[in-house]
Amino acid sequence: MERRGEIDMATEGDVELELETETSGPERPPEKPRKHDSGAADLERVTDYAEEKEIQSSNLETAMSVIGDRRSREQKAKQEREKELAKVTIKKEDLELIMTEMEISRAAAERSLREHMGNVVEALIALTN
Amino acid sequence: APNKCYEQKQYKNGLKFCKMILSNPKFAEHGGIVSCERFVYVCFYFLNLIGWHVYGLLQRSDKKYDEAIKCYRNALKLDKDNLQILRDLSLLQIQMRDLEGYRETRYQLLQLRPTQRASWIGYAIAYHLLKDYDMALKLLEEFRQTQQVPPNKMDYEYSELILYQNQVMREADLFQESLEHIETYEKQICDKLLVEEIKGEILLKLGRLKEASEVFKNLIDRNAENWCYYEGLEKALQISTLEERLQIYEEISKQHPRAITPRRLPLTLVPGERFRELMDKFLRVNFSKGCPPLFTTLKSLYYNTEKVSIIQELVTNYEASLKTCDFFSPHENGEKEPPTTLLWVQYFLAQHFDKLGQYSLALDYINAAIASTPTLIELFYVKAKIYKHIGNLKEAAKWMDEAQSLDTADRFINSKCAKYMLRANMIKEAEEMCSKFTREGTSAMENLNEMQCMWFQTECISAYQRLGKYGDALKKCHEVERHFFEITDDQFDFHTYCMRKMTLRAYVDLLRLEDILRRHAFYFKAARSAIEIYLKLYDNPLTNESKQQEMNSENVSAKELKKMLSKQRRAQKKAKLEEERKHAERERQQKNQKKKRDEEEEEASGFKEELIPEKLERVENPLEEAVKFLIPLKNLVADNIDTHLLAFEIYFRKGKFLLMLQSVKRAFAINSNNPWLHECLIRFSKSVSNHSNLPDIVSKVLSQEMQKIFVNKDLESFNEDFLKRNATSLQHLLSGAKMMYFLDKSRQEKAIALATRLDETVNDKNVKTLIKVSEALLDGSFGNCSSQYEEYRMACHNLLPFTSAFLPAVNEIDSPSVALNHTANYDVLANEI
Repeated sequence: MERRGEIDMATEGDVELELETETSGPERPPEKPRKHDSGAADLERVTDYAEEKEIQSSNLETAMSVIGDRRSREQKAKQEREKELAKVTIKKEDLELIMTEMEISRAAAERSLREHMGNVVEALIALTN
Repeated sequence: APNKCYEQKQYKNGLKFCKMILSNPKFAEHGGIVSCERFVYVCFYFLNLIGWHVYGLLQRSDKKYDEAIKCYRNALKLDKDNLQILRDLSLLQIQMRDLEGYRETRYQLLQLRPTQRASWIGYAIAYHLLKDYDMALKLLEEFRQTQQVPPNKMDYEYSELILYQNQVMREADLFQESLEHIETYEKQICDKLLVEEIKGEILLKLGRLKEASEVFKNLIDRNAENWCYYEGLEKALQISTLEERLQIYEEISKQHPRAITPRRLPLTLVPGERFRELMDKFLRVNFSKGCPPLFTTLKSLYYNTEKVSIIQELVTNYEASLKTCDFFSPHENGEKEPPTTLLWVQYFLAQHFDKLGQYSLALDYINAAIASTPTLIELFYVKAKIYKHIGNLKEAAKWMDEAQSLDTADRFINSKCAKYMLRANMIKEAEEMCSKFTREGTSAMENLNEMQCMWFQTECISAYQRLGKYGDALKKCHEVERHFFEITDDQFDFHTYCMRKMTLRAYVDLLRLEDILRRHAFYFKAARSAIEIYLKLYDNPLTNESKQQEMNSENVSAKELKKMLSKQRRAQKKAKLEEERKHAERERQQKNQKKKRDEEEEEASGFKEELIPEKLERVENPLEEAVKFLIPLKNLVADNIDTHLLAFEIYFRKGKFLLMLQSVKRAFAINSNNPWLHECLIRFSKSVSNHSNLPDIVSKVLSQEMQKIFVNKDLESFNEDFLKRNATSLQHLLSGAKMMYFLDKSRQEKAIALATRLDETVNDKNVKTLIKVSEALLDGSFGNCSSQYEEYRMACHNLLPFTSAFLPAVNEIDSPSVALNHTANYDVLANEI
């Protein structure tokens, strides 16, 4: 992140990004002395590498297996969709016509054509909606 | 060691280590040739891996995110479980909103580090963003259970987690679960107000109205000015009759006598006599007290003509009475009103008549107020506004200047003055006005750009556009676009930061904001102007000076030409010297600042190529530049008809018929009766019939879809129907008339007569629309018609005597003809001669 340069006298109240309060409850530590550097030092610390906090748990295994199941189902569904679309035959000139006329990427043009079973007129009508 | 280095952002050191490993001869001495070879292979492997990783980081810092993703994928091929690379890849994926990719990567991170809390949070967020609430909630709950926070302890991060979890539940419409959830954990949530608001919302959704009403009553007790709480309370009480509603407001007003809302809301609800009664009370209290924003709070009632006349009657009577006997009405006694009451009444009346378009009367009232209190800023502010509405922008700027002079420490009024100056095309003056508050050492323009002060920049864009200074306007358009790019880019660091700090709701809000960022009005203004200018530059590309002189020498004798050219050269020299002087001064100032800035900008991307007005307005492919500004509008502001009409204008010039079709279809779905759309439709249809050599498929699509819009009508009938349908609207008559001429040049007389109608049946004879008609008479939409233009100008002048645009042509800057200048440079010089 770039530093924006000094803040003018007209603006007050620099935003503090760091809230390093370990104390419980809403009590805040005494106010830090305000400076005119717009919290630049705090902004710098935003991108610092910090060791991620660890969690203690003995029961991660069940959770992980649920996740694993779900994931394989998602992958399967996705593959099936792709297979269906791949079965459709499409013509190269149709694809190129769509790309030039509608100024879209090859991938988008191809998807549209396949979704309309290779019918270029229908695909174009849908694209102009 | 190299890994540690780039985790701590010491990229240069990391590369140094790599070099060290390679170049150190000692490694060759260790344990024989075999181990040395293996070591070299291992080195190469790591260098390759590190190389791809570091290359990816470099691409990322250059903002080439797509390229960076490719690098990371290559690195992963070599080491698929590299934590750091996976993390970096996930950041890029969420930045580019590749949500499925992001979810994949976060799954791998979770498998590698199931004990790290970021793994769970990241994976849950991925599902949330993909709207798979089920999975997201499962993950969040699993994670929550691992956070062993005792029930009596207040922990901010835990509180945020609970609130985030609850938000996901509500988005999933799991209202019962959400209510139980919040009741279970409410003692550990820091934001107590939010807890109440959530409860109120859910109880309403669950139909538990009695409990909901209790919650909203408590909320109103906390804050009686929040309109949402009143809305909630009314839903909860299921109030059907007006009387019941008024009863509630009355009760609340008794409990909170100082609250404005319970007095203001009934005014929107009640009609006729009841309204008069309540309004009378409301007005008296506020005039006595001296409440400057009184008109602003009542403005939203002005759609209702009955209420408007009641207000007018009440307040004009107060004014008359206060002038004679210091009471609101002649037959009162008790304490007399102080003189300030009359002041606020007159101030209100000025705004009232201004809103109704009775400018003369409005000026009378505001001048009376000024006469009694010549140092009150608000009065000059309103006076300036009245002149703005009249259409005399110079006078408006003058009075706003007067206003700011009364308090030069007030930045609000200073900014307003600058804005009014820009509206009057006084760009230099506006910059000077702003410089009273901008940083020392740089020009105000530069500082305001650095501070991303987009209201100023968008006003400059319009001003330059009106003056025909396209290069300068485009520079500002690109500056605004760059701000939006930076704001989008800046979110990168928050992907890690927010997860570390557990500010998850704020994080998701940020992502959602960034998704629709260019929907903001500032972007729309800049994009719209940029597109309009690029279209103009396409239609009339700027020629350079020698060509201009060639054209002129045909009409002028050799002697006169010589004189003219030498005059031109002298003026050019003078202007150049002035520019050089200013430039030298600026350079001196900036030299000191440059050193500082160079250090700061080391980390920034290298795309900040300087924007040069002369280059921008002579760009090779203006239509392609216009499309760049258009695309975000098509994606994000598809509900604004102007997006599609601007798109049409671009595609029309590109000859892309199906994209033209797309534009008009989308516009038609929003408002089929829009005047500009009507013009586009006719031009589109004509163009299609003129192009007989379109590919078959294209023709097929066109005829099928256009049928739905034109329904077999020929264009003349289509136009006639449009005119009949909109016989009382000047805007529509103008468009229909333009098309009448377009379709048949021989009907010029009739078309002009149609557009210049000013009889009573025509409704919107306001400043804006009349100016539009007169501009059309000048720009060739009706062919050659200078005498008709003069007639029209005089007629408009009689209707609107104060409006600058219709004054006899003395002042060039206000007249519409300047805005049509395409060759700005030459014309500016011609004026100086």
